[in-house]
Amino acid sequence: MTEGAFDYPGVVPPAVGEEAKWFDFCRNHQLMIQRCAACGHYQFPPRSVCVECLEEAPEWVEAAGTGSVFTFTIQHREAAGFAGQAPYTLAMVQLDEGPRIMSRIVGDGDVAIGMDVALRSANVGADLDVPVFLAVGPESDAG
Amino acid sequence: MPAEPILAIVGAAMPASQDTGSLTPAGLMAEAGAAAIKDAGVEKSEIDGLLSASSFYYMPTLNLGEYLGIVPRYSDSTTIGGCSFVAHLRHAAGAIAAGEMTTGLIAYGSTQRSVGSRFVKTMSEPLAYEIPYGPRWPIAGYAMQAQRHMYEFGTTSEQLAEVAVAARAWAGLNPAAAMRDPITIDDVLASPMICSPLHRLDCCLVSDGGGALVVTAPERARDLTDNPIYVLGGAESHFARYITGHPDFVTSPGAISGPEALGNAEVDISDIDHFQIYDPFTIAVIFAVEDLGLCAKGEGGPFLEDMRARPGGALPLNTDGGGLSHRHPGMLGMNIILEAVAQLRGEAGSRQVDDAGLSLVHGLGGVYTATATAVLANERGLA
Repeated sequence: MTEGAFDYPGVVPPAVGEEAKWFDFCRNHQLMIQRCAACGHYQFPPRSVCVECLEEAPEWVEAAGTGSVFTFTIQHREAAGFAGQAPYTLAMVQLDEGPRIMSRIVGDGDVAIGMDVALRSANVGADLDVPVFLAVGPESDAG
Repeated sequence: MPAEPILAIVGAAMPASQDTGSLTPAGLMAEAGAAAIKDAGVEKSEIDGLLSASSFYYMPTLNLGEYLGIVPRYSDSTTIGGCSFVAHLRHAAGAIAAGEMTTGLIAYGSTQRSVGSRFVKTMSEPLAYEIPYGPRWPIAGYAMQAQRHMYEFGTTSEQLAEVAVAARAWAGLNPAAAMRDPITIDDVLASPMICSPLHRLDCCLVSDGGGALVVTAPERARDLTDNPIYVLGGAESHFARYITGHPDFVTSPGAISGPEALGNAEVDISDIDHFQIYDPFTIAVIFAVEDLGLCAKGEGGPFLEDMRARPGGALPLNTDGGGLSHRHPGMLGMNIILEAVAQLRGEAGSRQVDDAGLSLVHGLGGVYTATATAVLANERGLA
């Protein structure tokens, strides 16, 4: 796939703290989640503590970038700042490590819940690349 | 026998100027507050507690107190989204039981329609990790819950549409409803898709509005009015602030607050005569009937499909036309209480539910990531 094929002009959020750190990983084309050193729980969004056991400072780990569509919506009306882009497909992607992340499903073809997806990257402006997902497989049983 | 009442509603009102575009949110809140105080027949000086929530004001009870010249000794601005006012009922009951106030004013005002299309004046903060993808809030969150519900349980667009058709039929009986012309399932399905699977007619209205309630101890209520409305029990819960934190996309925290409110009220769901369920989008009512225990999880679509929620059906629900067809001033929690009060007072005109004694109000907040539920009764409902 051509570099930049999935870029779209987006909105770059003001980010501080753990949010800024996550977006810095994004700029490096890494989709990062967290794993608790104490209980092994994986989590997203990033937090200062483990949401399960409250252990401090969960480790940053790079997600494999594989997963499936947990649910989605085709937005026929844009959000503010995304003029002219509708329709686009917004989804909750179930990562194979466990956490879910909001993203877009890019590329052609119909989207269905359970479809396998693979990580891609999209530049949304202001040197920020964010993880997006390409539907790559048939509908799986993963749901 | 239901539980002893924990609170009495002795005054209730909507702001008279709510459709004129002539007042600020605080102005609407205060106008409704003054009307509710007059409706209760209490002196302003008797109000010693203020409760409010707002998308416009950072400290809404301070605005309310200043605007009406009330200096409270109890103040509660608990904000858990649109259902906040339902939660306030239980908070008020607790404060009264603890001796922290005697007579409270719960009030809300919004100019969501007047300001909405020109600029978004809201304190609501988006989640950084969601912003770059362009979700349109709140509909995208509800759309993804609807999509998942369809996937897991086979819920259909026609079943969602039935919720809108029933609401519109009730609105036809409510002279105050904004949208009163009947619609069909086909009309809903033919309306433009906004966020699949939700069409325009699956979505609530955007209105200005508000309302207010005067509440006091049940023992005091009969001194003030011949027709007090009692709160028998309430409950609240929440899962998350953002849709990303939703645990399963098919269950709401109503599965917690619903049964707990009914349990606190010592009322079985089958004894409820009237339901007022927050309906920002049609899917919300399907979730609610499941989570409240009216039917099993996943069966909400077929349960409502037989038109039981339409006028004349076995399940009088959203009898004012709801957020879908009556009005939706940003937060609907106040309006669902006001309609329950109207029904239990016997003031609902041609939409009146015969012999209504018990009403259940079920509010939601966030992207259905918060809920608050309360069971209301009139004197008949206490028996």
